[in-house]
Amino acid sequence: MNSLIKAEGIEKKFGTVNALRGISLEVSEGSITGLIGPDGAGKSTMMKIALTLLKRDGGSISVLSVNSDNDKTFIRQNVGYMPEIFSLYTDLTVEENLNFYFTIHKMDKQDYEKKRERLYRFSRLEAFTNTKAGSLSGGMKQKLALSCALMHDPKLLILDEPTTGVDPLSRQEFWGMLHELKEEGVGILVSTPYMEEALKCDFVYMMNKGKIIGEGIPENLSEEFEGSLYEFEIPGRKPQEFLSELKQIFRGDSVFMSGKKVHLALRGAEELSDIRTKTTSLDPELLVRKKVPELEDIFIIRVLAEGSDGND
Amino acid sequence: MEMIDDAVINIENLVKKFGKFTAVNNISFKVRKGEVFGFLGANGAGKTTAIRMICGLLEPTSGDIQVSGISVKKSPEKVKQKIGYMSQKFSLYTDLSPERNMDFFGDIYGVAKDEIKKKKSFLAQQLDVPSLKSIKTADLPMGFKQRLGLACALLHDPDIIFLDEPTSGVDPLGRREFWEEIYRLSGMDKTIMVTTHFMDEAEYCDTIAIMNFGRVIDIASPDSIKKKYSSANLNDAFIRAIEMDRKKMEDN
Repeated sequence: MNSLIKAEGIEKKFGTVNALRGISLEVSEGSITGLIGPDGAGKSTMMKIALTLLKRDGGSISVLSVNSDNDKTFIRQNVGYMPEIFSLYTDLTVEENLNFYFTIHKMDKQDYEKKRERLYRFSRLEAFTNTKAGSLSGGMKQKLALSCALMHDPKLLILDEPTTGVDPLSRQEFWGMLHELKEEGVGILVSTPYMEEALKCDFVYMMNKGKIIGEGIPENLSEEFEGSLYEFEIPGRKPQEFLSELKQIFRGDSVFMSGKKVHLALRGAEELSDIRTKTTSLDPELLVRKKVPELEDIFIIRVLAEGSDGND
Repeated sequence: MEMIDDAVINIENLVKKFGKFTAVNNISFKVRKGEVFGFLGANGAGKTTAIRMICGLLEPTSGDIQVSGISVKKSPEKVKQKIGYMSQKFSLYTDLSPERNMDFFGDIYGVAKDEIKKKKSFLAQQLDVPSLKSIKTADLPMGFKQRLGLACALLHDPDIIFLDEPTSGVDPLGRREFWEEIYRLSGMDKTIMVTTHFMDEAEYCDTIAIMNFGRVIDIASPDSIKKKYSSANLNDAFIRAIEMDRKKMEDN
C-alpha cells in the first residue's frame, strides 16, 4: 500500500511546552488511521504539521510522497482538511458553501453539476440545499464540512475531531461515509477523543502529552496486553465506596473506575481465585470477573505505567 | 410508574411548542435527590429545550416542573438559585485567574465573600496547588479547568447541578477523578443531571433517559438499557433505541 504520510521523530515546541516529542507515524491509502487521545495530547499540532500549516522543530515528514518543506502548495492543494472548529460560512446556504469551495479550488465550471450531485448523494444533504449552514444540526454540519473537504477529490483526508459534540447516531453515519471513501482508496487521518471510534480505524496511535504511548490494529492492542484485567462491582453501590479499599489491597497496581465498576490491571497473570481471596474482606456482594481490556483500559494502563517509570 | 418520595425534580406533562413544531411532547419523569441522572438524545431531540424549561429559562406551553418543591412556572427566579450549571467548553473566563473567575461567579450569585474564600481554599486543597491567583485560567491543564468550572457552578450551593458534556476531551485519568468528585457530591445529596453524547460518561449515571422527537422513549439504569437492546455497550444500545423508535413512528 502506498504511504501518504510518513513522519519520523517529529518535534514541536510552543515556548517551553513540548507539544510533540518524537512522533513517528504513517498513513496509507485506502485505510483509516486514528489519532486517539485527550485535548492537549498533540493531535491537532501533528495534523497541522502534516498540512504544512505549522513548522516542525525536528524530525522529517513527507506527504503525498513529496517533501513538505519544498512543496507546500502541492500539499495544500491535494489534501482535504476538516479543522476542529466548524469553519464554513454559517450565513450561507448548504449550496452556497459547496459552490464557494468549488470556486476556490479553481476547477472547471462544467464539472460543478456533477460534483454537486455526487456530494449530495454521498452526504444525503439534498433536502437541505437552501438551509443556512448555521441552522443545520451538529451531525449535518459535519457532513457538509466533509463534503466541502472532498470537493477537489483529495487522495488524503485529514479530519480533526470531526465527531466531537455529535450524537452517536450521526457519528455512526459519519463513519459510514469515511468507510465508503476508504473503499475508494482515500487515505484518512482522523483524530477523536472517543475511544469507541478507535475500533472503526484500521490502525491507531494513542497519544498523550506529545508522545505515542501505544500503536497498532485496535483489536490487537487488546489482545497484546501482557497483564490481566479484573472488573469489580457491588450491585447497588457506587464505585467510590469500594475504590479506595481496592486501591489499598492492590497497592502499586492500576486501580481505576469504569462507569459503575472498578477495574484492576495487573502486570502479570494472576488467577481469579487469588483475586477473590484477596478481596474477601470487602462486601459479600462483591462480584469479580476477568475482562478483556478495552482501548480505554489500555490507554490508562500505559499512562499509569509511564508515570511510575518516571519518564514524564 | 413507581412512587418516588424524595423527588427533587418532578416533571409533569411538560410540553413546548414553537409555532406548529412540538419540541417537547408531553414528557413526565422524576429525579431523586442525590441521583446521577443522564439526559440523552440525538441532536434536535428536544433535550436542550427541556433543560431550559427545567432551569426556568423558557416558559412551558403546558405542564409544569417542580424543582425542590418550587413550581418553575410560578417562580422561575427562585428555581435558578437552586441550580448550578457547568459546561466543559464555555463557562470560564480564560484570561482571568481561577480566583477572579470564582469571585466573578460568586458575585453573580450573590454569595458572601467569606463563603467564596472558603470555597477557594477548598478547591486549592483538592487540586493540591498553593494558589489560584497567579496563573491564567487558559494555561491550566484541562482537568483543572474542568474542576474550576465545577467549583464555580457550586459556589451558591445549589441542590441540582447540570453538567453538559463535562469530561469531553479530558484525559481518561482526569475524567475518573472528576467522576469521583461527582459521586462525592451525590453522596452529599446533590442531584446531578448530565447531558452528553459521550456514552462513556453516561455509564457513570444511576439512571438515563433517552429522548427522541420530543418524547422520552426510555428511562432506566445503563445496565437495563443495555440488556433491553441486547447491546454490549451503551453506544450500540442508544443507536438501537433511536432506530427502533424511528421505525415504530414510520410504521404508524
